[in-house]
Amino acid sequence: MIVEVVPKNDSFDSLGQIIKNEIKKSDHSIMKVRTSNLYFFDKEIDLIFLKDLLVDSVTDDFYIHPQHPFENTFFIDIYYKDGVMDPAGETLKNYLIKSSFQVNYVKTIRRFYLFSEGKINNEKIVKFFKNRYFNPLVEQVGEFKEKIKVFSKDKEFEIKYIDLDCDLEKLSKDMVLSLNLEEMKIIKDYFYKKLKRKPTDVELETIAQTWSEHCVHKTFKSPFRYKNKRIKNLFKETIMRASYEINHPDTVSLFSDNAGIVKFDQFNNICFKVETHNHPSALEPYGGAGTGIGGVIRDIIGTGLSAKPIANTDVFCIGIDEGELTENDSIIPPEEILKGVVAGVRDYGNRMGIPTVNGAVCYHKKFLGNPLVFAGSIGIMKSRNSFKKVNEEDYIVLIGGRTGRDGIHGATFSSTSLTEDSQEISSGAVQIGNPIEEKKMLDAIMEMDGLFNSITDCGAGGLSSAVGEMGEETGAIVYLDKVPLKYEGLSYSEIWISESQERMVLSVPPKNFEKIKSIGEKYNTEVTHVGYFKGKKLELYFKDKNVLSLDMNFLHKGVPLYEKKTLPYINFKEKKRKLKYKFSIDDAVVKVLSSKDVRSKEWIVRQYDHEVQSQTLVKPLGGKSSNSPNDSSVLYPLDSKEKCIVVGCGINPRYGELNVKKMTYAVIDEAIRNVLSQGGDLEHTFLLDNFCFGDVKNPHTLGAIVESTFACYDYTVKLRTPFISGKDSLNNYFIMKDKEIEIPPTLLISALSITYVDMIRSSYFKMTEKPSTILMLGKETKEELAGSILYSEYGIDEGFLPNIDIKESAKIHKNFNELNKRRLIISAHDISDGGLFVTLFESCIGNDVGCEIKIESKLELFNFLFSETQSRYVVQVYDEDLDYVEKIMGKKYMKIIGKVVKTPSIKIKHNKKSYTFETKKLLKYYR
Amino acid sequence: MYKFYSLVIKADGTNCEVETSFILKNVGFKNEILTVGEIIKDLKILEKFSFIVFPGGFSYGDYTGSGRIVSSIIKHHLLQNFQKHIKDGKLILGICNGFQILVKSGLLPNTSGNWQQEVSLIFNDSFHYEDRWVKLLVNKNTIFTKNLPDYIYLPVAHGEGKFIHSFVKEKIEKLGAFFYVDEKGKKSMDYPQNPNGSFDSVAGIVDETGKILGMMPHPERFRDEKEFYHDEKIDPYGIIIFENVYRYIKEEL
Repeated sequence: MIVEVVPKNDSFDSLGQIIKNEIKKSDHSIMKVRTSNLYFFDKEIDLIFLKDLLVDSVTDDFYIHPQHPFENTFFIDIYYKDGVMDPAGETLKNYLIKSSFQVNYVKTIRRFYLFSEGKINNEKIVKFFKNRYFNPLVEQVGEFKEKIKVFSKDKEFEIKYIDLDCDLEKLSKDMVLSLNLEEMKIIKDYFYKKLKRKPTDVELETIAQTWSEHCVHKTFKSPFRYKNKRIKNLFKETIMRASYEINHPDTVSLFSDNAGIVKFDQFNNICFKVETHNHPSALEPYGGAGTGIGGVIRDIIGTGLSAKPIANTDVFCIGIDEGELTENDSIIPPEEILKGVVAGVRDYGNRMGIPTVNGAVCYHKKFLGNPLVFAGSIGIMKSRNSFKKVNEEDYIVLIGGRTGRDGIHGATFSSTSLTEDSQEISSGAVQIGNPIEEKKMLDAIMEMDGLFNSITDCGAGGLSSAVGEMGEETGAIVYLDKVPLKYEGLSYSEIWISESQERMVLSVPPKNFEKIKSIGEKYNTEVTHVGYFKGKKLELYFKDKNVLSLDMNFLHKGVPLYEKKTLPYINFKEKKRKLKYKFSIDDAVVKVLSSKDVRSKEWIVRQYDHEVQSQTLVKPLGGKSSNSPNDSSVLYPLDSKEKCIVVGCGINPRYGELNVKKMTYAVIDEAIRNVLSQGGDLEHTFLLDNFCFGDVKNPHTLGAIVESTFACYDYTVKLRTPFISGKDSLNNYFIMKDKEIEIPPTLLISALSITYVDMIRSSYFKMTEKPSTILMLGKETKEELAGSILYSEYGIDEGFLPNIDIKESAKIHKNFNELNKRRLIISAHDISDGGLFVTLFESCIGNDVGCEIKIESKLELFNFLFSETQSRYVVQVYDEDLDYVEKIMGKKYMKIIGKVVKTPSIKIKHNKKSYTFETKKLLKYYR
Repeated sequence: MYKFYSLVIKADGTNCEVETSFILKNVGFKNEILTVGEIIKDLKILEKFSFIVFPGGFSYGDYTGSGRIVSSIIKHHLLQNFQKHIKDGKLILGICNGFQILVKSGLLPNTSGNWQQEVSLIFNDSFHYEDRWVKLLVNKNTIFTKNLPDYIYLPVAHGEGKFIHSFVKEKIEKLGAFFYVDEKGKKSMDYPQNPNGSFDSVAGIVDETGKILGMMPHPERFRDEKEFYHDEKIDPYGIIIFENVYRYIKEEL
C-alpha cells in the first residue's frame, strides 16, 4: 500500500515555497510548488495506527493511493535506490515490527508537485533538482511505482576459489583489490608455496582490505629516499618521534588506539580523532560527510574501553568553478558539494546529540573534483577505561545495525583516484548513514561499561578489518551465517567485507553476554554473538564450511613496503613584487572581507547544534551581536569543576600549493594561535595531523610528504606540543578531460588544549570600565603576501610567503602563554587569513564597537593591513597591566596600536594619513 | 511518601536526557531516566514521579514528523496515566522535541478537554535547523515561570519549531508562557528574533490547568552563567524554571 501525507495548505509547506522561489529564478512559468511524503509498505497496516504515526492532524491531509491530493498536476518523485539506506523507512519498519506488524519493506518517497501555466519540461525540472535535491548515484527520480522487492534468493552456495596462474594485475583490477603486482606475487607465493592451494575469493578480499592504503597507511610507513637521505619509516621518524621526544606527562595513549588519549583531570581522560572522507563526499556529499562523521564518532566510542563523544569538528576544502564544469560533467558543482556536506554533518551530528563546535572552510580551484572533508570527534572517558585487551575465548559480539551490500570495496576504493566516471561506477562504495541506529548503539554501549574487554568499530573493511585487528594476538573464528542481515542473498564474502554503517565489534567474556544482550534490548539495538577470539588464526565459516583460513602474521605483517623515491616539492619562487599595483584600500577591504575564505560562516555554524549536552562554554560565534567568530570553541564537561577543553585548528591549501614546509609551519602556528588566543594552555596542548596529498606516483608529491612531516617534527618539538593521533589520505587527485589535477598539499592541524575555566575569554573587543589598550603581540609584520587572501583576490602571484623562524615563534607563543597564565588579557584574536584588518573587523563586530588605530611603519598601509605574517595576535589589555605585559612578552614582540571606542567604525591613522571604515557598511560584504 | 522524584523519559534518538537529568539533580530532585519501553512494561511506575520531563532530541529520528512516533505511543499506551498524573496536581515539562511530543499527543494545551491535538509545531520558515540564542518575554503567571525576570535569554536549536494555532488573541496571550521578542522587548515576527516564524511569536505554552509546559528554547543549556553567549554576567535562567517546579512540589503537593 502507498499512503501520502501532504500539508493542508501552502503556508504549512515551507519547503514548497523555498523551491518555488529558487526555481522561479530560471523558470517563470512555475506558479507554485507543493511537496508531500509518500510511504510504501509491502503489507497492509491498520490505517488508524498509521495515521497516528505519519499525520499531523492540524496541518496534514492523508491520502491512500490511488487517491491523490492534486489530480492532473505534474510531479516528480525522489527516493533512495534499492540497497541504499533509507533511514526514515528503516526506522519506520523497525517500529512497525516492534508493534507486531509483519512488514518486510518500507520505502519513503518525496514527491514534488509543480503547478505551471504552460507545459512543463520534465528534463528541465529534473536538471534543476539534480544535485540540489537528489543525487542520481543513490537516488531515483521519476514516478515511484509500487513493486514488491524480491532480493535474489539464496542460491546454492559454493566456495569460490581463485586461480592465480593468470595476469595478476588484471585480476587485481577486475576484483577491485587495488593491489599492485608485487603485492599480488607475494600473495600468490603465500598460497601456492606455503599453503599449497588456491585462495578463496574472500581470502583475497580480506588481504586486499587489510593491505589497503586506507587501512595500513603503507606509504607513510614505508622507507623513503629524499635527497640521498634514507628514512627507514617516515612516520616513526617524524610524527611519532616528536611525540616520544617531547614525552609529555599527560599523554596516555599515542598512535596505538582508534584515537589518541590524554589526561583531563583526576578521573577522566580525553580522546580526539580526525578522519577524512574525501572520495565518498565527492560523489555523494550528503552521505559522504554524514558517514564520515558517523565513522569518526564510532572511532571515539571504540577508543580504549569506550569514550563518550562530547564534540565534533568539521573542515571542508571546496573547489572553485572557473567555468570548467560544462553541462554534462558528472562533477557536482562546488556550491552543491558544500551544501551537501554541511547538511550531512548537520543531520548526523545533530541527531547523535553531539555538538559540532569547530571547523573551517577553505577554497582552491584544485579541489574541484576532489574536495576534502575532515570530520573529527572528541570523547571523554573514565581514566580506568583507557586500555583494552581481548582475552582468549571471549565472544565476538556484533552490535548495532544490520549488514547489507552497502559500501562494498570502500577501503580499496578510497585508496585510488577519482575519474569523471566515478559517479557512475562506484555506487557501491557510497552510503547514506542512519544516525538513530548509531545513537541507540552509543546509548547501549555507555551502559555496558565494564562488561567487555575490547571494542572497535566496523569502518572501512567492515567486519574483516575490525575482527582481523582485534584478533591479531588471539586469533578469531567467525560464523558468517550468524551475522544479522538486512535482506537475504548476501554471499559469505559480501557479509565479511560489507561496510554497512553503524556497527561495532565487542570482545565479551562469556559470562557477561546475557547482560550485554539485555542492555541491547533496552535500547533497541541488536546484539549478536558471531564467533570466538581464539585459535591464533583467522578462520571463517559459512554454513559449516570453512571459507577462509589465514595466518594473522601474514595478514598483518605481510604487506611489502618499498622504498619510495622522492624529489623535492617544487616550491614557488619568492621574489619581490615588481608590479606597481595601485591598491585602493577601500576596494581591497571589500574584496578581502567578502572573499569566500574570510566571509562569515554563520549560515553553516547555525545549522549545527553546537550546544547540545550543555557543555559548550565558548560557541563558534560570540558577542552581543553573535557576529564575531571565536578562534576556538571551549567545552566544559558537566561534572568538571574547573577544567575545560579548548578546540581549534589550522589549515591553508593556498600556502600548501606554494611551499609545503612554510605551509606546515603556518598551519601549526595557526592551530596554536587559535587555542592560545581563547585562553588555552600551551603546556597542555596536543595536536592531530591529517595529511591530504596528491598522487603518490608523483615523486614531487612524495617529496612534499617528507618535507611536511619533518617540518611537523621540527616545530612541534620546539613548541613541546605532541601529536597524539593522525591520519593520512593520499591519492587525492582527479582526472578531468584526461588531465590529472592533484590537490594542493594540505595539512590540517587540529589542536586540543586542556586549561582552566577562568583562563577562558572571548575573541572580540569590549568597552571596559578601566582604561584599556589594543596591542599587537608577536612577530614584526613583514611584507608577506604571497598566497594571501589579498593577492588571491587580485590574482597576484608574486611576493614573499610568511616565513617562520620556529625558535622565535615558539618563544612568542611561550611568552603569550605566560600572559594567559597570569590572566592579563581581556580579549585576544589571532591574525590569520586576510591579515590585521580582518582581525580588527572581526574583533569589533562582536559587541558592535569600534577602534582607533595608529600605525607608524615603513610598510605601505596595504602591506600592514593584509600581510599574513605568522605568530601574531591582537589583544586588549588594561592600561595598568601594560608594563607587566611588556616585561613578559618582550619589547620586540609588543606594539601598542590603539583603543577600543564606542562608535562602530575602524579608524586607522597610518603615518600621517587617516582612513575610516564603518563596520555596519562592511558587514554587508562580510555576511 | 518522598515527593521529589523526577523522571526524564527517553525514546530512541532522544539526546538531551543527560544534561536535563543533571540540572534536575542539582536542583534537588532524585531523577531517573527511563526508556519508553521500560515504562510501557511497568505503567504503574509513573505514579512514583511528581515531575515528568520529555527532553530534547530527535525521537525516532523525527523522520515522520517531529515527535510523531512517541506521541502516538502516548496516545495508545500512556494517556490515562498522564491524565491521572495531571489530576493529581503533578507537573510535566516538554523541551524542544518534548514540546513537539506533548503537542502532537494532545496533552498540550487540551483546551477542549478531549485530548486531541489542537496546535502544531512545523518546519521553520527557513526549512532548516538553527541554533541561536533568543530573547524571550516571560508570562510570569505560571508555576514554571514565576520568579523569572520579565525578559530572559535562552538558546533554541531546532528545525521544526514554528508554532501554529487558531486560538483567539486573548486565549493565546493566556496560554503563552514565552514569546520571542526583539532587542527592545517587543514581540517579534521578524527573523532572526523570531527564529522560526511562530504565530504570535509563541516560544512556549502551558495547558489549561497550568500543570504542563512545553517550550522550544532549552533551559537546561543555561545552567552556568559562563554558558551565556557573550561576556555579560547574568543569572542562568534555566535553573530557575526547574527550581520553580521543586518549590511548587514542596509547597503544594
